[in-house]
Amino acid sequence: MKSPTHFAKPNNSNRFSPASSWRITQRLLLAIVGGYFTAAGIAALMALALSRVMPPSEAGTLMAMLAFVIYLALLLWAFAERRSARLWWVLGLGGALAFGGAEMLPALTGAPRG
Amino acid sequence: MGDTFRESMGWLHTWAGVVLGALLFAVFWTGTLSVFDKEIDRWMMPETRLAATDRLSWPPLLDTARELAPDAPFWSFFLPSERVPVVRIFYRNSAGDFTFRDIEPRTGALLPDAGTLAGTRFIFPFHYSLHLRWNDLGYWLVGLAGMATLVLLVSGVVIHRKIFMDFFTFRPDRKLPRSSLDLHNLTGVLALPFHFVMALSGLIIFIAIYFPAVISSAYDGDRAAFYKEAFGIYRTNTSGEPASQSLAPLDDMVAEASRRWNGEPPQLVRVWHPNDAEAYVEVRHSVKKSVSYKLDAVYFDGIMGAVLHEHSSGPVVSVQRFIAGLHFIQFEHWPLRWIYFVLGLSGCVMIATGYIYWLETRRKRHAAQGLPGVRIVEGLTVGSVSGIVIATLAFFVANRLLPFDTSFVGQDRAALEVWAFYLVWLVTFAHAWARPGRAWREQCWTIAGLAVLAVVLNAATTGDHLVRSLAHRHLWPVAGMDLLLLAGAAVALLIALRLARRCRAVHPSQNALKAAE
Repeated sequence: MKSPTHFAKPNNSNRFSPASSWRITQRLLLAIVGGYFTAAGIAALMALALSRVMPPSEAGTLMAMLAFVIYLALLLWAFAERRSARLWWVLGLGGALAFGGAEMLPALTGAPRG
Repeated sequence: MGDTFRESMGWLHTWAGVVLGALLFAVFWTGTLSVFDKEIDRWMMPETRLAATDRLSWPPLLDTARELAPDAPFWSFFLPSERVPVVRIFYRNSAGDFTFRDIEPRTGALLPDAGTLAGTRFIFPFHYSLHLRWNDLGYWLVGLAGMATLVLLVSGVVIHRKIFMDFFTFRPDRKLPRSSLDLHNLTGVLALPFHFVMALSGLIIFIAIYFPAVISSAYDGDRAAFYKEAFGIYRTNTSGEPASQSLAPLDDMVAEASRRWNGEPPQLVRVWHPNDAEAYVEVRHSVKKSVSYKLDAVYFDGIMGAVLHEHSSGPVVSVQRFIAGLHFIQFEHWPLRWIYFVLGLSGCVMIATGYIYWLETRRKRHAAQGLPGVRIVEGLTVGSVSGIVIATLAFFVANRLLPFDTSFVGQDRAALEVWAFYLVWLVTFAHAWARPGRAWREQCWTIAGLAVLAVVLNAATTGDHLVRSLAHRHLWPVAGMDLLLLAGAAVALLIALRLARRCRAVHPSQNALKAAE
């Protein structure tokens, strides 16, 4: 029988060096903070779009609920993705653009009112 | 974080669990207790142990409110139910603080101030806010715990090789890492849908706190407009003129609202600006007959009694209210309530056994390499698992020991009970770090002792001992709490005895030495 304790098997490689602790800190920050703003930004942009076809209170509620699912997917991906450059592109730059865009867009276009 | 997806998820599961497990356990434990928060209220507030009634008489209630809070901007009357046999009035007192009192529904007599936050105002708010009000910090920490639960559940499923087998596998006779992992998998996998739904629905209740930008994006940042539209908040201004007539009969308004809801009763009647010519009355839908935590409301002109405004939720908000109701379980369903309680406890077992597995797979290596990890995490585990149980029991015992109108260094009785909770919790952490190896056993003894003491104190101070409380229907909440305390004591006792036996088996020579001394 295969050992069922295959995961999180204690080994000697998890001693922290400055380089590895920076890698982990950067990933945690990108995942938790970057992931949050990316999820909120995407959801806010979609709520803005949906508010043209349904009352804004409904669009906002729908996308705020789905935002948790988006955030969950981004969190899991952030720890599975091996290239940290990609994390910076998506969760750093992408998040800033989505969140910033959602904050700015209503002012630029005039918010739809239900 | 690993070469394969499974390894990455393994890393994530391990470290998110170890770092956030203590917070998770506190949220799971208080959430599990909140399933019975109103029953805990009955136990901790003996003067509210009344027989349930549907009948209530408005004129004496309004008289009581007028006497209690003559200038309050509103009076909120929460109507009595099977679980809460009193009318609870919320208002702002003359100092401007939001406060409440309980009223006997038939006579309108004011019940004495309970002097406790009990279940609904200490344990339940701890579950979602940790009582850290500063900048909503507590809400965000619990939100982090909620997201972490989702991450842990998904990553936990990914790292399984044989998830189906884990339904049926528990080998308590094996070595501790193996049996604790079995139990971790069993509780995690069997109750997986429940844990996932509870974590997600708990987050969704607070969409407006966690994702304000999404909520307000379509309103150009105007959140009040969102609340008005989504949740039907309806407000009018005061006229400044005193009312020339008294309020229209509230019975008629309640009946009219109920007629509009196909006979379903309201649960909240709120009189706005009671003394003003523009007084109006808000009647809110009951949350007891359906899963959904409905926000439907009818507003009446206070003087003329005519309907001013009616709100019912749109389809998406109704879904959100259903999800919220799933989490709140304010609907009347005793079997489901018990199932929630048992599944909540299984979540607590899942977190505790996860910690134990982490500790037992590292203990030897950390000892050999002189790493402090196991010792730190073991103290954290003991303090956050058995420690919070002890703190909760101390809260109950303090409630039965402190006399009415006690105050100490400027803290009133309700605050002293809360101090007892936090101070005892701190002590359990100190004890856990100071006495590694013995802490589990000693804290289990303490749990058993305190739980029995709470039952004895309840009988001694209120006279509602088990024979009496089991015989009277309206005392069943008290009987249930006493029985669960005794059951908890029995479990703690068994664990303590088993740990003592194992300790003797592992260190026979040490014990022989002690015996020789």
